[in-house]
This record gives sequence, structure tokens and C-alpha cells, in this order.
Amino acid sequence: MRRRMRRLSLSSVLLIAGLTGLALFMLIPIVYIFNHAFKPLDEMFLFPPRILVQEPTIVNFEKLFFATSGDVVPFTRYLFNSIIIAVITIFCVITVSSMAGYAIAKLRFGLKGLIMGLIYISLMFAAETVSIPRYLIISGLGINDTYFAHILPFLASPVAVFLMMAFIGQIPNDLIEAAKLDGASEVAIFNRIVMPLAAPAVATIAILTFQGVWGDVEASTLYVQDEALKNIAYYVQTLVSGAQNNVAGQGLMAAASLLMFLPNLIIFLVFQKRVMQTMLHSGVK
Amino acid sequence: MGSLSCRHIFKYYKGEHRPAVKDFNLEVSEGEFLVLVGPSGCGKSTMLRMIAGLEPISEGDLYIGDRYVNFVSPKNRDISMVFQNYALYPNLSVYENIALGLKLRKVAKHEVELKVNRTAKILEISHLLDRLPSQLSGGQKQRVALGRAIVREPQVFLMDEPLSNLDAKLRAQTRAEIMKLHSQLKTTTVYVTHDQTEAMTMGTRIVVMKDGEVQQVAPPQIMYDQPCNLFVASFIGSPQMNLIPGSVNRREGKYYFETKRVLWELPQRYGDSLKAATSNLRQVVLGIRPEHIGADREMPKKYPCGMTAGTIEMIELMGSDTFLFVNIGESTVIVRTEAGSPFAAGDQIEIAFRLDRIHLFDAEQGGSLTSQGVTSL
Ligand SMILES: Nc1ncnc2c1ncn2[C@@H]1O[C@H](COP(=O)(O)OP(=O)(O)OP(=O)(O)O)[C@@H](O)[C@H]1O
Ligand SMILES: [Mg+2]
Repeated sequence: MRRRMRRLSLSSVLLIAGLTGLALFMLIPIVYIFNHAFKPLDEMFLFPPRILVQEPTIVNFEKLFFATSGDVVPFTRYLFNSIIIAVITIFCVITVSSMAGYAIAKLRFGLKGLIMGLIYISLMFAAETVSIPRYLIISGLGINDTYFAHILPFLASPVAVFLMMAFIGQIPNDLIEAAKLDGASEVAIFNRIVMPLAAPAVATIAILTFQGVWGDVEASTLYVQDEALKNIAYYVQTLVSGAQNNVAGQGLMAAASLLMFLPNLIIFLVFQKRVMQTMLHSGVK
Repeated sequence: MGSLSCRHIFKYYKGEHRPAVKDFNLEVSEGEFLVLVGPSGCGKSTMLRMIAGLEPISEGDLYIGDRYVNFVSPKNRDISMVFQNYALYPNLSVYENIALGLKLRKVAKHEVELKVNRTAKILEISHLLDRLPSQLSGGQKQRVALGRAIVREPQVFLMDEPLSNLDAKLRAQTRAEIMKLHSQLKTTTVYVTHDQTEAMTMGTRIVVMKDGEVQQVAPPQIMYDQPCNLFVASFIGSPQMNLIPGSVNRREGKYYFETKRVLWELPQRYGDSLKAATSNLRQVVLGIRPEHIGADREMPKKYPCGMTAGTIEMIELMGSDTFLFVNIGESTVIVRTEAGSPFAAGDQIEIAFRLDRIHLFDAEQGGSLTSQGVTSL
């Protein structure tokens, strides 16, 4: 033990100390979100404000789940929508991007250069710039008031395709050729060899997609008019904007924020290790 | 059944105007162990991959057995291949690795089990079946890769430098095992290597390639004794054949090899082939293997020899033999002597060249003037 201590040089001690401090600092908002959601109303407005909750209560959650059910659309409906949308989107994005990534990384076909070029170019667009074309496509397809309006914009994710392409590109060609000689069809190669090896990239894409789709308000604001088909992110946003001057709404907001945030945290903790691997392998940071 | 027939096969890679393989024309009979050997980039892998179906054939016809297979997909060619870096599926256990080929071919489950276990037994990897490839040593991975190839009992095995990732000792051992396996299974094998020792020790026939072109096809001993050109002569054999540039002159019906330092009368038997090939004077390269140069005094009594003097520059002890690097003026030749010869670096010695064992090559074209009876294809 003592030996180990002595081996650390001064610079690495400083580095560790510095990084620890930084990590603790980054932790503050998370601690704050957790505590805030359980504060009774009077504690929320204490001055000076406190981060830690004194007398935890679940009254905020009760209000969120039950009190709002008197409204047109209950909170649980938004939650349900968000979960359904997230699950379908993640599934579809993984399917599309892994297949596209495999094809681009390992198969020979015409126009490959052009397709890759398009993907690189689309990586450069900010999301806002494509809202209008998206709206035109969605209304053109007549899927305005369906879940597909939420799903479609995420489906063709250049980042996901790019990650998959980079990751699958690392799989040695020999493996794929060996499988071909073993009698595997393209589908079998994809399912039995490529996908298991690409699991870390799949996890990464699952997280990225989840974060995007869970927090997305664009679809609910622009493409979906039916209140019953909007998602939780939209609901929280309306709560926030509606509650700015509203003392009673603060509790709801705090609880809703925590519910918004929690799945992100859980998913990240579960997949964290794999994500690191992907980032290292694909050279994407 | 397991024969292989390559008829005038060419390979042009996209964007390259020089072919990677040029007019590869060869019949491999059933049960043969054919070794493709040549320096890096000469097109060995390309040829093997065309046989496997992993690379399209630009020109020419390929038959496996009696079947024309140019456009048959790899999985339907009834071949299996061992890759240089093993290419084991990292996510599957050793058992699954070996079994996958059978499973994908819808072999019944009990039969898969039977075959995998039998294969594992042959290769002595039965105790490793549950492990993942990452838990194996290089030699063990190599066996699993072999197992995956033989379990399907294909018509032809293809191996692309399967031993090059192993250390020297393991390589020799595995080499022997592959030979043993081949004598048991008698499956037609095409084996690629850039190592001439492997080629000499393993092949029933050797194909030497250079820049995409076949130089010579012959059994190992003939390849060694009668190389058809300078390239083959210097590629096959270790240490390399000694090459001495000079000229051949004809005087009064006799032929002489001549450099600034030596003038040797060539034995009469070269006369015929030289007569056909030479005019009066011709620039040549004389090739002679280290074992056909002697430092002892007995040699000139037994064989027709050409003598010259030289200085020992360096001595290489190999245990069983000793190699002397002797400077004879215009070049340095390697002389093979018995171990324990009483020489030291710096010694002046007289060495004898066995003129009945020399090779003469055209200095410009590189073709052999002395082994002309040998088929180059
Ligand atoms: N996919 C490719 N595209 C273009 N040229 C290629 C391709 N693969 C190989 N070549 C070229 O074809 C020639 C033969 O390559 P090949 O891999 O067959 O050599 P090799 O004899 O196997 O060499 P090594 O001993 O290094 O494996 C080389 O000049 C190489 O650069
Ligand atoms: Mg090669």
C-alpha cells in the first residue's frame, strides 16, 4: 500500500485531485435535481437556497401523477407516449444504422462514395436547419398526427450510421470472409458475427438516440397537433413556461424534471463501459 | 474429385493496369500439397483468394473437381481456408467456431457434435472446446483454425501463411503436424508462404511466383537442383546460391567460364546446351550452391573442379555446419564445410568449385542455360 502511494508522482497527485474536484462540481446539478424533486414547497423558496432536502416528501410526484389527471391529457399519457416512441425509435435506429454501417464498411457496391459523402455532409447540419424540410416530408406523407412523426426524423441518423460504419470497419475482413467460406449468407454474417462484435457501438447508439428522442420537443411542437400524442419533454417544457410566475407549479416542475432526467442517468450507467469502448475504437470523441 | 485446375487465370485489380496475377496455368491433382511461394506482393494471396471465390477472376477458367466454378460463390465451392491471423470468431467458443460451418449447412445436431469432437481429438484441442479464442495461445488458435477447416471435409484446403504468426519452434512443430494431417486426410491443399524453407519441406510440388508470374513449377528437389532462372535459383535454398558474373567463351570446341580472376574449363556435358544457346562469347552468371564449394584438398581429386584463392571474411557457425564467407576478389561466396573445420576469419584459403554442379544463367534474361530440359511450367 505504502509503496503504491510513493510511486505516484506529484503531478499525478495534482491531476487526480483536480479531476476529483471537477467531478464533484459536475455532480452538483444531479444532486440538486434529486433533492429538489423531494422538497416541500416552502423549502424550495428558502433563502439562502439549500441543495440538500431537509424533510423529503413525495407530494410533488403525487400532484404530478394525480392532480393533473383532471386536465385534458393526463401526465401518464405523455410518459406512455415517450416510452413507446423511445423504444420504437431506438429499435429502428439500431436496425437501420447497423445495416447501413455494415453495407458501407464491408460490402462492395456502386455509388458507395456518393452515399458516404452524403452522410458526411449531413453530419454537418444543425438540427434546426432541417425542421422545415422535415415538416414538409412529414405532412407530405400524411403522418402528422401519429407516432411516426416523432420517429421518422430520428430514423436516418448520420451520427449513428457513422459510428456503426467506423466500428464495423474495425472488424477484420478475414472474419467475414471466413464466415462466407463457412457457408454464411450476408444475413447470417450480419446476425452472427457482425452484430455481436458491434454490441458496444449498438449500446452507444441506443444511448445517443434515447437522449435525443426523450428530450425532443420539435416533433410535439411542430408536427403533432393532437395533444394526446405529444411526449413528456413537451409537457415538461409547457409546465416550465407556464410555471414561471406560478409558485404552486414549482413542485410539479421539479418532480417532472427528475422523471425526465432519470432514464438518461440509468441508461448511461448501464451502458457506460461499452460507450467508452466505442469512442476509443471509432476514433470519434 | 479433389483436383484443381487453373487455366490461364489473370487478375487485374481495379485501377491497376499491371496484373496482380498473370497467366496462372496449373493443374493440381487430387491429394497434392501444392505450395505457392514468392516474395511479398507477388500475387500469392490474390491467387488463393481467387480459388476461394473471395476475389473475382478477371480472366481465365477455374475448375474444382470437374466443376467450372468461376461464378460459384465461396460457400458453394466446397473448399475451406485457413487465414494468417486465424480469423476465429471472437464471440464464439472454440466448439462454436468449429461447428459454425456445419450448423450453417444444416448438418444434424448429433452429427455436428460427433464431427467437432472427432476433429478436436485429432488436433488435441478437446480440452479447449469451451474457451473463447481470446483465452487461447497463438499455437492453440492455429489448431482451432485448422479444425474449422478440416471439420467440413472439403475437396480442397487453402492456407494463406498459416504459420507466420508463430514463433520459430512452434512453427516447425505445426509444420510437421500439418504434414501429418495431410498424410492422414489426403485432401488437396494449396498452401501459400513466402518462406522457402516451408515450401521445400512441405510441398509435393512448389510454384515459385514473382510479380504475378509463375517462374517455375516443380517438386522441391528438382526446384533445388535445376532452377529454371536466376530468380528461382536465388530464392530457393538457404543460404542462397552463390552467383558469380562472368562470361562463357568457346575455344577449339571447348567451353570456358571466365572472369577477371578465373578461367575454368567447363565439363563436356554442358557443351550441347551451351552450343544451342551461345554464340562465341556470352555474358553469364554462374550459380553454385554452398555445399558444392569445398575447402578441403580431397575434393578436386573426386570431382572436376575449378580452383581459386580467397580470404575468409566471416565464419557462421550453425552447429551442424559451418559457413565460410570467402572473398574471391570480385565477389564473396558462401562455402559450406563440416562443423569444427579449422578455419579462422582472415585466413587465406584455396577453394574448389565443383564444375559438374554449377548452373549457368543468361546474364540479361536470367534464364538457365544449363537446366534447359526442365519444364518451366
Ligand atoms: N484489393 C487490392 N486492390 C488493389 N491492389 C491489390 C489489392 N490486393 C492486393 N493488391 C496488389 O496485388 C499485388 C499482389 O498482392 P498479394 O496480396 O496477392 O501479394 P502476396 O504475394 O500475398 O504478398 P504477401 O506475401 O505480402 O502476402 C500487390 O502488388 C498488391 O499491392
Ligand atoms: Mg499474402
